[in-house]
Amino acid sequence: MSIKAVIYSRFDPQEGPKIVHQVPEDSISISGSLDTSINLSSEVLLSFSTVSRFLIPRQSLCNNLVCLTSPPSTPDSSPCIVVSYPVCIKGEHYPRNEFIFNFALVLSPPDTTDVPSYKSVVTKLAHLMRGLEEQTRFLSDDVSPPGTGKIYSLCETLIEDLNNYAECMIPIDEVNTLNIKLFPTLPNPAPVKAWHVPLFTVRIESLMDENWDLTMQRVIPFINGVNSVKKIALLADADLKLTKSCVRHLLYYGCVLLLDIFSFNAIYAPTSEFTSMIASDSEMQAECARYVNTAFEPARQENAISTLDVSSSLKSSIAATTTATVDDDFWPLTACGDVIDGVGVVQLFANLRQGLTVRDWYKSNSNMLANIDLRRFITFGVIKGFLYRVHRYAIQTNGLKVDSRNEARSRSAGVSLGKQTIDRENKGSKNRKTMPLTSFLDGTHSFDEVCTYYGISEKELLRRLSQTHLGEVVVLCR
Amino acid sequence: MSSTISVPDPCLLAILLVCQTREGSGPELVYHWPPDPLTYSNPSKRSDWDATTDDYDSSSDSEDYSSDNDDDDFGPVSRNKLDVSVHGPGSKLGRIASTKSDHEDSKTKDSTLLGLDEDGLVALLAPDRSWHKRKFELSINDLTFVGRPVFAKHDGLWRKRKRAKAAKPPAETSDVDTTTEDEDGTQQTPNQDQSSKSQLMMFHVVFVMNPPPLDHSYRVKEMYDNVIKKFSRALQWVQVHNEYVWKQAESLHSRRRQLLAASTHSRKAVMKDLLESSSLAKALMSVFNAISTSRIASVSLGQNVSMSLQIPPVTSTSYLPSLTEPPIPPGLWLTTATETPSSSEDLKKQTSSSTLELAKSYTLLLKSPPHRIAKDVQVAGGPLASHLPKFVAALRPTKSFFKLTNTAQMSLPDVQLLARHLIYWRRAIAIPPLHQRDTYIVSPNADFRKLREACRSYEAQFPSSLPSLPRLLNLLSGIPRPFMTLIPSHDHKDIYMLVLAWLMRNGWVTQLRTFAYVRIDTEVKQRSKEKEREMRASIAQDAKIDGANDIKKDDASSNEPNGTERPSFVSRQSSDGRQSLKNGRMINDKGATLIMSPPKASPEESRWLNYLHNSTLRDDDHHFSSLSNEEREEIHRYWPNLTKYFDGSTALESVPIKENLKRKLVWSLYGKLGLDFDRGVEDSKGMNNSIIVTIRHW
Repeated sequence: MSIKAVIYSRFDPQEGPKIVHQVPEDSISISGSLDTSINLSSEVLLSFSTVSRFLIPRQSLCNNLVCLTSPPSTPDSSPCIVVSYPVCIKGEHYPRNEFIFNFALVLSPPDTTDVPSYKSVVTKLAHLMRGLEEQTRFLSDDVSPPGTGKIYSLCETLIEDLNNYAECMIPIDEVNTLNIKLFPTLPNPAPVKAWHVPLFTVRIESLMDENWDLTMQRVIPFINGVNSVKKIALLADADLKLTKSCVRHLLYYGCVLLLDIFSFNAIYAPTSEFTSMIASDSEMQAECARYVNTAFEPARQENAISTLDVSSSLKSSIAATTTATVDDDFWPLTACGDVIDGVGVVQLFANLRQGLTVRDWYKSNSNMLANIDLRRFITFGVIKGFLYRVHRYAIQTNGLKVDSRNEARSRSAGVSLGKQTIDRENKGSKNRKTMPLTSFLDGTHSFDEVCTYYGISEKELLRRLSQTHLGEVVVLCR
Repeated sequence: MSSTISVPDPCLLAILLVCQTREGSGPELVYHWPPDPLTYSNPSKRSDWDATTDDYDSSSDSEDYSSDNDDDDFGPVSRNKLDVSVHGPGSKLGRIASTKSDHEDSKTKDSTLLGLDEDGLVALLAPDRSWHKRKFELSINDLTFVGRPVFAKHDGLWRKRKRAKAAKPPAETSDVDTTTEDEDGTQQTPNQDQSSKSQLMMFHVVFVMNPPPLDHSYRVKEMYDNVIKKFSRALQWVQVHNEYVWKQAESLHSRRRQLLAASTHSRKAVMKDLLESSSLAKALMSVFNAISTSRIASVSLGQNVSMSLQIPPVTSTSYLPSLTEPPIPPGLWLTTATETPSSSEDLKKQTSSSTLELAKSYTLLLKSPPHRIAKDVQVAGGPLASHLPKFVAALRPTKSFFKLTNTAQMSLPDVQLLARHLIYWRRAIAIPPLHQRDTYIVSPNADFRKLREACRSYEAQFPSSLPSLPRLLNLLSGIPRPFMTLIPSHDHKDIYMLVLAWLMRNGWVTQLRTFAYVRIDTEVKQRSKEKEREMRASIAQDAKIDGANDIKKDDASSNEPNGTERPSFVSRQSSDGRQSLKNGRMINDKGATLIMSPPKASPEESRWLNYLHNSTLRDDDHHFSSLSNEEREEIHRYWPNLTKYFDGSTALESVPIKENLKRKLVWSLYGKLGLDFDRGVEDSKGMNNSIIVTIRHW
């Protein structure tokens, strides 16, 4: 119900700017200062005299998208937003040789409305009306009194359909139809790197059809929350760059999440969300237990984990209550056969800390973790956001020294040169030149990144880092 | 969403001054800065996510992506381009590039401004009186015009005829929004030029912005609340008192006409010339230059009125975004230690004693050397100038405000006031005092890209006998240990604490803080149930004897330890007790429970806590069986002091200062309650029965 009103106004050669139609009627007080007698009923959103100059601006400002936050009509009402697109059409058949009109939407305040999505609606409406006017004088020939006629009913349908269904399809004549759908404004997706691990949050098979992009169809089967983007590209035999943009597309529509590469050498630690999430949410504890319990392995569902969005967490909470009443057997058992309860799950998460690899953490909790899928346990925390991955970075200390400023400069020049050559070769052939290890040792490249780039294990990387010609290499974690 | 917003991004393109006079010549654009807004290269870096192309194997990755989607109505919106596709065929904005160069140096007759027809635009920027002292917001395509128009009163006067108390000029420095500014600007000095029926009818300082669609309302609000409103009020004040705006506008107007008549000047040159001749023009320029680059603007309006404006930056965050979420600015301090107020709202608020209590365990970390701050303060002047240098000199990042008040002979409210001033004006951040026994880790948000640069300044500042910065960070990268384990000897302590302050200041490290919950295991639950049953039985018996069954029963239930002490908590339970209720139904009977907030515990939880408290003195309890009698008595004594902080959001590190207890004592008590960072969840006997569950994060 974001649209409060639709106003169709035009410049009348005799009367100046005037409202032709408004839906609902009386939402805009028309008479200016004369209407002191009329009590301002609550439906009145704004007064036309205040906004008329913005709805019908000078000819020079027409054909622009104009949004105005109008002052509240009464002190206690909230301000509303008028999104409009004044159009000016020149033509000798018009009085004064021009015809100015404007279809405007009055929206509720921006904190409750996705204003940008309505901007494209207004723009589209303006373009369509302009076309209709130019073809058939659809607007200028309409002489129906306010509240009647084709244009009025169009406005009426528009406001109803958009408010109720977020889309509309209004036939105007034999050839023209007004098709509008509201799209939410989404933020740009995060950049996708070769070492990121995508994980589906939806059942993609149910969405996909054979018309989808070919690379997308190749890539999707390998997205499983374990494979890195680079590995997916290799497995799908797809170009890395195209694979990345596929994942980024999926990311934009919220179909995937990005994780890090899980390994037993990796370090995870709690974030500040810990208290507000797993510690206080017994349903999340149960959800986790169901997700990680290896006793469920054969029958487990890959999508048992829910992301943070409302619908799925709602679903899971329903699931949680139903399963809880049916059976409590989802709690994993320790090696000794005791039940790990919700607090036990919390304690296990709380026991992860900086500097402690998953392997070491497992060693000190092997009894409790006997029937728990470690990867799922960790990724559960990462997905929910109460765990974060502590990445390792290698730094070549002599590259950072003061006296080696010149060297540093030349080194960075070398790096950028390397980049260029790689780009060039990328375009030319698949056979690319690998970059020297030293270019990764400035503290901005994580072990994941380097290992993915060379396709080596962390152990191998550490071995290469210990080679003497690199000088002192320090490993930092953050 | 919240995390994109932690990046300062003023989105400011230009500032316009529109005035309307009584003569009926229509509104006029008196001045604007910069002279050519759209071509003005904004030095502030757009923190555009996609711009970070550190990707070595596909540097053109992101560009490809957005250009692929240009035709896609709902594709990702690239934010810097003024996207032409949306505008109609006649769109001016679509042709900016061409019109701009045509008009760049030509005379200003019917020119365009910001790609729009200037006269038409200015007409819209002079709205009617219903916007008087209200937020005005108009967007044309991607540009947003925000302002707060101020009108003369209906009789054309700017001030009331009535006598009012003599007005003071607005506060000289920084704290502009102090009480001297009256709400209406209608204060007046009694006698001076009563005759003045000003020619000025309205003035309107308009800020032109281009915020990205998703952050639109946040950015506009931020600008309006922090800058536009305050600036407009100040101008209103000087207009009411000195006719300042009118005088300046008039002189700008005539000077401009003169220059244009000479017709040898380009628009740019005219603007520059006006800058020399008018203090208001200069003020607009300095507001623009500072605010558009997220700095502090200091402006003077006429001779004796000066003010500072800024959009206060976010100094810390507790939220570490995931890979999928927009990143936070690298180097931003990551912490939950933000109990002290640091926003402008708090600055206004009268300090209540409770916030003072809360904040006395904090201290300030100065961002620049004390002597430089002292010097700047002296230069700027202002009411606090005399106190600040002394305060700044007395500050130590290792000393809490509480200790400071003792050593520097200042009252806590004074300290708070000065501290807030320094925080608000970006001279310092509030931190928990640094301590060698506390633990610090490399901040997950440390900006490693600056490592080389940082090494240089580190080496310049500290003796080379210390480990190098990378080595030091390496030492802080392992399993977290108290900072003192890094300090080789007692003699090194001071220099290492200085290094720690430096690391904190530059966002390299953050304190790893410890939080705890009380864990109630099934045994405690059972036993407390049994005990309660016994108690009920005995009370019921007593009641029977008394023969006043009903009344006594009520008493009995409220006689439960919690009931009498905190009756209010029972009623509060419904609002926050959803969790505990759920616990009660689903898991309680089978498993252990964490008590999320001991002070707000439900009746049942209070019974458990009470049982635990009492069992510290009993021999038969498995939790404390390994402790000696003295130790148990100690736990019993301090149990109430400590448990209230076991709510998962109060750092255990802050408890000694808050309770004014010895740090060593408190930490040994924690240890006896089950705090142990080095073992797994189960102890060496394979038992999981610690009383507190601890968790560490920033």
